[in-house]
Amino acid sequence: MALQAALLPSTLSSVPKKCSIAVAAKDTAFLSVSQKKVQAASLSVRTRVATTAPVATPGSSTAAKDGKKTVRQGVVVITGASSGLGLAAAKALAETGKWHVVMACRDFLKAAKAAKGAGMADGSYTIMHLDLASLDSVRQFVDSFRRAGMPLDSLVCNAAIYRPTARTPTFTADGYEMSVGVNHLGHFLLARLLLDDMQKSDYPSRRLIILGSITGNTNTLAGNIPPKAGLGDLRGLAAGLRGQNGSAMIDGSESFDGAKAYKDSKICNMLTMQELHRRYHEETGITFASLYPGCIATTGLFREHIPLFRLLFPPFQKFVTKGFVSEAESGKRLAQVVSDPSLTKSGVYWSWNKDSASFENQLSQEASDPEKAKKLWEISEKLVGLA
Amino acid sequence: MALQAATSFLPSALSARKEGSSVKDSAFLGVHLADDGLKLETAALGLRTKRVITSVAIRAQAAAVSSPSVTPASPSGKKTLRKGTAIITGASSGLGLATAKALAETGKWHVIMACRDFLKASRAAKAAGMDKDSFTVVHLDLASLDSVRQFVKNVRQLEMPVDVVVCNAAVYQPTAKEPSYTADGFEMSVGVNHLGHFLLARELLSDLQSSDYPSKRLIIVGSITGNTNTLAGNVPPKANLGDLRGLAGGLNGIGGSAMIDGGEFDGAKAYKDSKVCNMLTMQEFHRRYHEETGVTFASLYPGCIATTGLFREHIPLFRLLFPPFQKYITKGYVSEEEAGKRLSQVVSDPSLTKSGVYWSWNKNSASFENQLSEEASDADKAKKLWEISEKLVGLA
Repeated sequence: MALQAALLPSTLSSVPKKCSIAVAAKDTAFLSVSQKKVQAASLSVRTRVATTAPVATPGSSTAAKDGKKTVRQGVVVITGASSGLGLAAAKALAETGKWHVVMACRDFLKAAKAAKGAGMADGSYTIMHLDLASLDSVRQFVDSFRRAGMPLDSLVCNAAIYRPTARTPTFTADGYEMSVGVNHLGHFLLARLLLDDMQKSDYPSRRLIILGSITGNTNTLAGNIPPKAGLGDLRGLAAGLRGQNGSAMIDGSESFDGAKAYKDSKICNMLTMQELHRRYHEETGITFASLYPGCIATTGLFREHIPLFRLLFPPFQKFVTKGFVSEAESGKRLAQVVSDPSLTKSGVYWSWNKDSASFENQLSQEASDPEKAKKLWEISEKLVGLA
Repeated sequence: MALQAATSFLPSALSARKEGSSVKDSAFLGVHLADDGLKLETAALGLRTKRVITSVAIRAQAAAVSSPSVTPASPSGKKTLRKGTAIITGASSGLGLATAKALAETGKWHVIMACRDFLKASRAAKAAGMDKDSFTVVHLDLASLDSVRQFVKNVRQLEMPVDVVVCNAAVYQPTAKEPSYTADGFEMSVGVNHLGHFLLARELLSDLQSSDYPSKRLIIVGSITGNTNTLAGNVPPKANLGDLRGLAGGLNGIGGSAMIDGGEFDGAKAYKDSKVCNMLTMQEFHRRYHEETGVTFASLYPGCIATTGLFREHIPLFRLLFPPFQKYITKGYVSEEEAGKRLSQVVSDPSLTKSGVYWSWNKNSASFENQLSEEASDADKAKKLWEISEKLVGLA
């Protein structure tokens, strides 16, 4: 297999489409990095800092229902919120005072320390355990959340794992290859179960956001760096992604590639967002969106990469591709997609330009394929026990 | 602090199982000195322990003898004992996993595996061959009091009775030069091994009380190294709680000490101190609640399980030499499987219902009541520990 050094092309060529050139950057709760304090992020929208702790059950409506339109505090669930992008977004939302953040993380202690380290106010967040590598844990999280008595206004499917140098697959508790099992299947089940809760919410703008990645898009330079994403006919997924007897790759390929498994899972995320939009947006009014905040080269997502890559990648992104973005800025961008009134359009894959202005980016042909999205949906339903 | 979830509900979700390897658990270092002239006594009752699985009829009869005040569940002539529910903390490896397996394979127990790494626990249960209907994994991180409270709510929503609680989980940082802290700011060893378990046991005591099971038990795993009346307990650094000055100061290292006695930080001593706390807590539970509730409170030392992940933070040379040292020199070595069987005995054996006992086993694998050290038996210190701990975990 091609070494990840191939991710460092010696020359750049212009890309016909309007987009940033960058390689995968995602945050994850699974990778444990020493958490630096995230700098305060300011939102473009007017913000008001809460002076008092929210009520015991965040999200309860204010008593005033007359002419005054006071929007209650919103509740957002963010997966993988104990580091990187998820933590930066949680902080950005919490410090506005308008959101209560449920940090859904698999390492409870790490999340608690990260929230304190980021200076989040005590009443602005609740940590709940979620391990996307186990469907039982997803179901327990949903039940636990419901019993907490909070409404659900936004869900951010942010958590991810990335195993770029892995030659053999690892598997989830339910037997699926880890990258697709966590990044796609766990989130698929979570989103499907929590959709009911979002439908019941009285919040004016309900959004379900699934993090994408530009490397899943083969219409960009980054997406053409081998190994390229490709779901094929979903043969491996239909067989359950088990290494024994079948394949651990979605396309059924016999050889496992950790980097491709990650990119494939991101295509699944973007296909899922679009299928959710097609099936539910008109019916429920919920906004479904995906985004690529930029290459956050400093997060723990690259923890399993070789040290030389981790050393060279940030300056490469900063000075050569110009795709680098700080954790604080990326958190602010994700917070925009959660709460900005101008970003309520559904079915969009959001990106940002050099001046930090958001725009609707184009997905690749495969990532836009409605037939493939439908097939992915149906197979995934079977695998997570919804069919 | 993070906002506490008001209520939570979990249906009886059963964990799928997957391949994996056990890495870490709680276990215990030290030697068993049954032959030594030190103050070790063999209880006659313990020598008559039977390791074979008793029939239901015999069990019911024995249960009636050991708990004469308990009304049989079935008013009719038939005395069918329902499947018991045992919560085991730290059940994803070592002693906890071996115990979960031993209990589950009898078919008489449903085990709630309370673990902080959900995936690891799911894989471990599958690798151990546990029947998927015999266990449920529920998340618990003893390094966060919020997680303990969420765990209790989640267990209650499973709508299973709670018949036995086994406080088994532990962390051990023998080579740590600086302390690390829990989510609530307590030093990690005492925060996890003692304070997290203290809150958990206190919260679940009411569930134990409302159980209709004939033999309800709360078991806190001890360690011989906390007992300075043994050779192992005299290997420096020795356990010593002093006047509990550091604990009263919150163990947060800020303006105070991370050690219970207020001294300089020592990772190994912090572990031993936490084990003394466990044994003091067991006895205080016994004094306060045994007569009132009929719940049996016990502690035990199953032997030195030198192969577990408890020693993972030790230097490689120690991990290499310690198992043969224990096996051939001190003769204190015991396999994980045997240790699991011993702990499951304390969970379910009708002859081990005596409360307030620190159980140990001799070379022939017969259980006996072991003696605790003077400090570990100090009633006033236990009371003081209890009251300080209540404040620290928010119960007072």
